[in-house]
Amino acid sequence: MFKPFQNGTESHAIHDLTLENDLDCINVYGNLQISKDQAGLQAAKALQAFLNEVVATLEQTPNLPEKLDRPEAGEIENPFL
Amino acid sequence: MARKRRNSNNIWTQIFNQNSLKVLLGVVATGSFVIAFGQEKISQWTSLVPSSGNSACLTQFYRETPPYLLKNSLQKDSYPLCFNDFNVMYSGVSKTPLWVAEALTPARLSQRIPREDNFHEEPRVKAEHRATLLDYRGSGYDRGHMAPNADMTNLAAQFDSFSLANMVPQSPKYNQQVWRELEEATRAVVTKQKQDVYVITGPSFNAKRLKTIGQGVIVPTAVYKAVYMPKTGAIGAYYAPNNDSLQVQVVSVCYLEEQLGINLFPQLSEEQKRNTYKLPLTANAVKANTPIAYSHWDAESQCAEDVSAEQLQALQTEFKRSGSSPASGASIDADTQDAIVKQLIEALLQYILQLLKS
Repeated sequence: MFKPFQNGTESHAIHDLTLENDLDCINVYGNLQISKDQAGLQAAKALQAFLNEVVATLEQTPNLPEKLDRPEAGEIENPFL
Repeated sequence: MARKRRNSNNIWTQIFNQNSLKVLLGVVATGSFVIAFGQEKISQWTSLVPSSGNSACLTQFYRETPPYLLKNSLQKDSYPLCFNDFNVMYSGVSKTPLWVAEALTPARLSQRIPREDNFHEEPRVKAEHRATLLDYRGSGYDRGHMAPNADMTNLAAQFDSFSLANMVPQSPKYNQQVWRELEEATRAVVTKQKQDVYVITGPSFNAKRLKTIGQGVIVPTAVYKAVYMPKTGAIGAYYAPNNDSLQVQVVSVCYLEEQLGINLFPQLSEEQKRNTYKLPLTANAVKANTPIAYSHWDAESQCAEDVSAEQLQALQTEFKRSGSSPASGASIDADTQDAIVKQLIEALLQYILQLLKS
């Protein structure tokens, strides 16, 4: 699994649950069925380990802002018209 | 003497009887496992070898004919790019693809590989036209796949699908919910109904002023996915605004062509493109034995004009020449090779262990 917020280019998956890394955010989306069996336990542990690392990384980040400041998007005349 | 011989015979027979079933099962299972598993890996490997002729490139298009850009503004600084499992017409103006084409077949979608890769910039595009990782960073927009990773059959194709030449800035909620479901629905048509689907996916820039992120990557106002199923003649397109509204419209191919200024399926007639079917919005809506129902005839939209045979041939030649992504060959380094071999051995061992336990 990737280091949260580090390279920022990785995409991984736990079955159909996608985990996407970036420097300023991590996307988690898709479906994950955690079945009551060994496979389910493995999936749950993978997700838990990942989230633990995300939480630890955020907690260790100095001056973590209340809310991320996103730059305004630019604007241009449509070049295709 | 005879007796002893019979005894020893008996022992061997006994041992054989006790274990023969297991041994036999083991051998058969291991054999079939190696064949099944090995073939997948081998096919992944063989497709890493860049094909020389590259007429393979054209198989992603319906009747080998690529969509055709009808406006000069779209053609400006455009790059025809042939990838493994899909093709792209990339624009250096918007720094996004204009269309991405894939041919989905039941055989193709029977192979699934885990999603594990890295977003990367496209080296075949000139630096001044190239979207960069930095452009997307902190923008609040997703790097949205046009040809989805889940359609890819091998590691080279998967690597290619993470090229930024296959991405547009997509609103996260929309990319992660609506679009994902439409992609799943399209795959379900292929796998449940066992039919080929030709798919063209891309952005629509449909406003006087457009947002940009980073160094001029243009944010589309909407994203489309046109589909054609030759077996049933079903046709139509999804058209969804690139925002958090989570809306999707199903429209005719002609409607889309008028919006885009692209002839999406040059080999289909205007009559065919005016037909609009009730395309499924989720995989669950696709039933194996219920064909996709007809919706309506679009009499209003202006279908794209015909493209001459010479123009189409010229474009085909460009795609053949563009070759498959050179980066894909290099994407398999020693580490990956080791990992694949290790995976194979581990899986095989586990399989054998499980067999012995049972």
